[in-house]
Amino acid sequence: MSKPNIQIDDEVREMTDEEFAVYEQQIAINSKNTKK
Amino acid sequence: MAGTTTNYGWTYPTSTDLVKDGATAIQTAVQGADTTLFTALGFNYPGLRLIKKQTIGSAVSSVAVTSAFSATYENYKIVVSGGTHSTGGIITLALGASVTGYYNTLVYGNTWATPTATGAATNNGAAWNYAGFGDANQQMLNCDISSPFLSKYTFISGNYVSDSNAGAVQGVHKVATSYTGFTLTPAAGTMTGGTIYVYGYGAS
Repeated sequence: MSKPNIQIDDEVREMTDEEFAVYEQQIAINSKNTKK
Repeated sequence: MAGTTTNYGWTYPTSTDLVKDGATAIQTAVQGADTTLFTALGFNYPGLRLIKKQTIGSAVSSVAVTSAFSATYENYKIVVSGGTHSTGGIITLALGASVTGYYNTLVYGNTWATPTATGAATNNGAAWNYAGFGDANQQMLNCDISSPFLSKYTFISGNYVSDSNAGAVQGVHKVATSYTGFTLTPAAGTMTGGTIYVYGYGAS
C-alpha cells in the first residue's frame, strides 16, 4: 500500500515508514480538531 | 586615473588604468557600495526580510521547510497563500521533528452573522493546531514564531481565518530545543499549490 506524499523543500516523494508514523500521530490528534 | 561616483564617492577605475589592477579596483568599488548600504539600511538586516519562498507541490500530505531559522534572526513570520486543500480543514505547524509539547488556544467568533467568542485548543499535542486553514478555494496561514532557533521554548502568535469564522491563535512549544525548520500538515486530505513565505524580523 502506498503512503502519502511528503514535500521537503522542492522534493516531493512518498513518506518513509518513520515519516508516516509521525504523520499518523499528528492525524490521530488532528481528527479531533475539525474545522472551526 | 580613478574617478569617484557623484553621490557616494565610490572609487572606480578609468579606461586607461592597467588591467592587472582590475581586481583591486573592483574590490574597492564593491567595498564602497557595501559600506554605503550597510549604513543606509541601519546595519545588518533591518526590517522584514524574505528568507525562504517555497512553492507547495501537488497533492502533498505535508510540507517541510528546512533551513528557515538561524542565528541571523530571532523572530520570524510565516505566511501561506494561494493553493487549495482536497478536504477543507485546519493546517497544523510543527517545529523540526518534534511531535510533543505543543500548546495553543484559538479564540474565535463562531459565525459571521452573530459571532460569539468560542475557544479551541491544543493541549500537549503533536503539532500546533489551528495554525492555518485551507479548502477548495484557499489556503491561509499568517503567524509569528518567536525564538525557534534558540534552545528555549518557542511561541506562536497568529490569525486563523476559515470560510465560516475567524479568530486569534497563541501558543507555546514547551521543548527547549533549537529548530531550523518546520512542517505544515493539513488535518485531513492534501495540499496543492500555493506558496509558503518565511520572513525574518531584523535584529538590529
